[in-house]
Amino acid sequence: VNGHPQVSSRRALFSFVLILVVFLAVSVVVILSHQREMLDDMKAGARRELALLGTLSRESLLKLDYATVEKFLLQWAGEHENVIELKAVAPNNFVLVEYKREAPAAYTYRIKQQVRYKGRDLVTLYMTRDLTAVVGSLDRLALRLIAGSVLLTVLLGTALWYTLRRMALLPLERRVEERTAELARSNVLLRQEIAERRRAEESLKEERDRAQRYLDISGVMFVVIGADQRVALINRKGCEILGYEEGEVIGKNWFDNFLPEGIRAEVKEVFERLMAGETELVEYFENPVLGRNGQERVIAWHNTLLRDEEGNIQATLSSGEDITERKRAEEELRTLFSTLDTVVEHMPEGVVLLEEEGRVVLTNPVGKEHLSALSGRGIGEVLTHIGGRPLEELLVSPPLIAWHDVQAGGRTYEVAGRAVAAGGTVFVMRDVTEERALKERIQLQERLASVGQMTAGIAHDFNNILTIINGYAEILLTDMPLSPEAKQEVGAIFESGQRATALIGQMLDFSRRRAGELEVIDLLPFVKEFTRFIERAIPVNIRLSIVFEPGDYKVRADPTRIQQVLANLAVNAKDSMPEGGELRFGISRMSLAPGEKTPLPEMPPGGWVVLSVADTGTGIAPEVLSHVFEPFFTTKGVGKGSGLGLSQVYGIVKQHGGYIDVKTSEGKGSVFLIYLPEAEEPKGDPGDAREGKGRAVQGAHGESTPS
Amino acid sequence: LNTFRALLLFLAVFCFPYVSVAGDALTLGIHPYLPATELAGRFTPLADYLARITGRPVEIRIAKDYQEHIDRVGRDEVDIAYMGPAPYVKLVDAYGEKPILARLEINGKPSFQGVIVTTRESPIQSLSELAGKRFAFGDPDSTMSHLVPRYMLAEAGVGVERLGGYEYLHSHVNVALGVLMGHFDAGAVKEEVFYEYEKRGLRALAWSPRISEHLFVTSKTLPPETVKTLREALFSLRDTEEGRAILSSIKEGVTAMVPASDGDYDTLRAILRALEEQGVTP
Repeated sequence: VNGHPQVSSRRALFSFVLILVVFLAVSVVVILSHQREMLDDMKAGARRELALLGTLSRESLLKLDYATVEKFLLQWAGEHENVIELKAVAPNNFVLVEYKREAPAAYTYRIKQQVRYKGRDLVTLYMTRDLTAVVGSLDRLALRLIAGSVLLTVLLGTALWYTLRRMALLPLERRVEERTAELARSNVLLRQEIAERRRAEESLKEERDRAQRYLDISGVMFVVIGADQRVALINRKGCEILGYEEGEVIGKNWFDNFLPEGIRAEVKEVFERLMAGETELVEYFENPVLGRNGQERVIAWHNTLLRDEEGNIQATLSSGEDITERKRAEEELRTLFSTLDTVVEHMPEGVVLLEEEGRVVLTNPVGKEHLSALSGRGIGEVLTHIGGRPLEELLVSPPLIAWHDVQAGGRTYEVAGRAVAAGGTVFVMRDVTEERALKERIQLQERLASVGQMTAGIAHDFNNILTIINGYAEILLTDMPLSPEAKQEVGAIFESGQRATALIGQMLDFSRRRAGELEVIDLLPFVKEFTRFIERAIPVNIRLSIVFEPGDYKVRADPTRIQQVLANLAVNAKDSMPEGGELRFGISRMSLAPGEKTPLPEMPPGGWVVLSVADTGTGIAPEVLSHVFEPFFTTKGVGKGSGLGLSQVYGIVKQHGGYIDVKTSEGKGSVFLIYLPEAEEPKGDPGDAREGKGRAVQGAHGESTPS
Repeated sequence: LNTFRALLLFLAVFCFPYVSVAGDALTLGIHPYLPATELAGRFTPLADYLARITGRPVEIRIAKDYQEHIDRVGRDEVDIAYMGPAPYVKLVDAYGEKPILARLEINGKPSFQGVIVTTRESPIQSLSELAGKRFAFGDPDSTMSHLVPRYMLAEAGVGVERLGGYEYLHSHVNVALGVLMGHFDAGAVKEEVFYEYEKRGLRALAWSPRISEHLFVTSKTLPPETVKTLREALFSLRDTEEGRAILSSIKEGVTAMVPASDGDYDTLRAILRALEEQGVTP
């Protein structure tokens, strides 16, 4: 029987196409070899030209007319545009002619020609020709010819195929088709007969094998235990689990051989009672079995009873599934979950897990707190924004860093979000408010320390120079008989020197190189005294007051320096209130236990006296604030301030082991807070010495409102 | 009256060239060192200039050969003659001194020099080491590529007979290339050619004495005032744009015409005499 007619037609078509492809391939090879031949012709032409140049050069060289060779070759190369290099090199390596054309060439051809006469080398010619254009046009020609051949093959092939099919293949196909149909009919009848007979045989055999196969391919073990406690049947899986051959198990006492010792007696007893009909069968339980090498495996058992025709219990049939691995995995998973839970719960960062729709499904305690502060949402609620920013924005890390800064309720948080592979997103949040503030303070301290070091160096050197200037000016003024005019001029030098010395003094104060005499003083009477002293210097439209609680405010201090601090702050306060206002001095005490939060991060715990100078002036702009303690930094006009006042204050406070802070609100005023360590009290309980507990306000300008 | 004046002016402007043609023409003689048409082209601007200054037409005469040129100058058959230094020395030997008008100054120098060259790699360090070596001369008539170097070789004790061989290559450039190609151990060239090929590997072995440049002489029969006019005309060429164009037309690099005397050619004269004693004549 031959194949189907369509198949034969397809085979014919395939052969036909194969012949066409071979024809096409031959054409392409012919075209390409022609192209190569043409290129070779070009190269041969170039070689002939170079040989001719060699002959011409030889004539002139034999006449010792080198100049002609040089001129001729250069001119010849210049006139032939595809010559990109021409060189004539003498046997002693002297380059008689070197012509080079600056032209980018993709395909070059370099040839060499030795010019000899009677076995003697005269000169060697080297020529490089640019064949890019030639190769390019040959390539284009070949491409066109190949394209033409393809087109021709396709057209010719199609025409031939149609002719062949109509004339020869179609009639043949029809005849084959008729014969095939006839054969197929008789074939079908025959096959049906054979199939029926075979089916009958097979169903018998199948019936026989099926039971055994079911048992063998089963993923669970089957065990039949007879009333005599011996194994009557075990399937392949059962043997695998136990690690024995079938023959080693059949007929053995199940309980003595295949159960762990610990449960053996108990199970045996239950079985005996079951056989005696004293107890009901437990349909499902989990029990271990004992394998060949003493290893135990946990099996989940399903049981049924086998009875004889009269209904007497003869055996138990049990199917068991090995669940050892599953048990272990479950245990491991439980441990892992509890570890993860502990880690997340105790993380110092907030962790929030969102479902795909943005519903909060999990948070740790810190996360719950931050989430509530940032968005007011909790578990089970849908989250769209964190701190006013859409979630999508937070899922993409900003350039160079992983965290987004998010502000809420005056605190700064770092937030980073990541999509979770299983769907949903995880957000991690950190409250960095204190960390940032501390970092900023540390930077400021470091800056001031380095500026201080530099200032100290400069001030020290200048001080030495000024000592000389002032000293000699003074000697001139006192010891020399000077005319009144000269005296006035030297006096001016001396005065300027004194002013410079004062400035240097301020600089030295800032740089903490000068340590004064420290004595224990009570700040309250001191400040009171100071306000009385400056009362006259302050314009009447500025109200002056002291806020304090009666008591001792003992500190170890240099009174003159502290007075300097108060004076500088008072002057600044006055200058910031050209339209008038209120200047308030404050004194209070503060006791900080270890671990308690300090007003400034770098401040250690202990007892502190807090001195404050507050004004209701213009305040300090935020961009200026971090520079106010730097020397020579001033916002006052040129000539109005030295820029040293606050630097001096800063230096003096540091000298006293104190700290300074400034709080300001633009347009509302500033408060300078000075923390000085409390002097150790030699006396007993200081609380008894307190004068009272009320707050007192002393109006320095009296009760009347200033006009 | 006005009409008469206008007519006079017309005649003065348009008829002047014809009037001057009417006078005796001056002749400018040149030796045939280049094809005649090339020479005529180079010297016509000078001839026209001299005609304008003297008011007499100037005709260019190119001699058949060097010897004829010397003879014609010697017999006062040309009024102004352009001469090379060696022919001038010959002229004075044969016919006595002629008034010198001026000599050329090339690139600021009224004299020139030759160089005996070898290659940079050559072990030869002095002329005396040239004994037994191959030497390249230019043209047998050339001052700097044959006569002067030949004198220098003789002075150094290396006459041509002691050389390993020598050839005339007919041009300075050929000499330079022949030495560079390694076909000759040394050769003689003029200084410009040496400078041009120095960068390609030439090295100077010895420099010749400086020889006074090409010059213009005049006939003894020319009136002294005409000679004076001609000298001044030549000396002042350097001062005008036109004059400088005339100079560079004669030869590229000519920067001026400067005064000269017969004594300026004594060096060459001595060299030629020495060569003559050795049997070498230009």
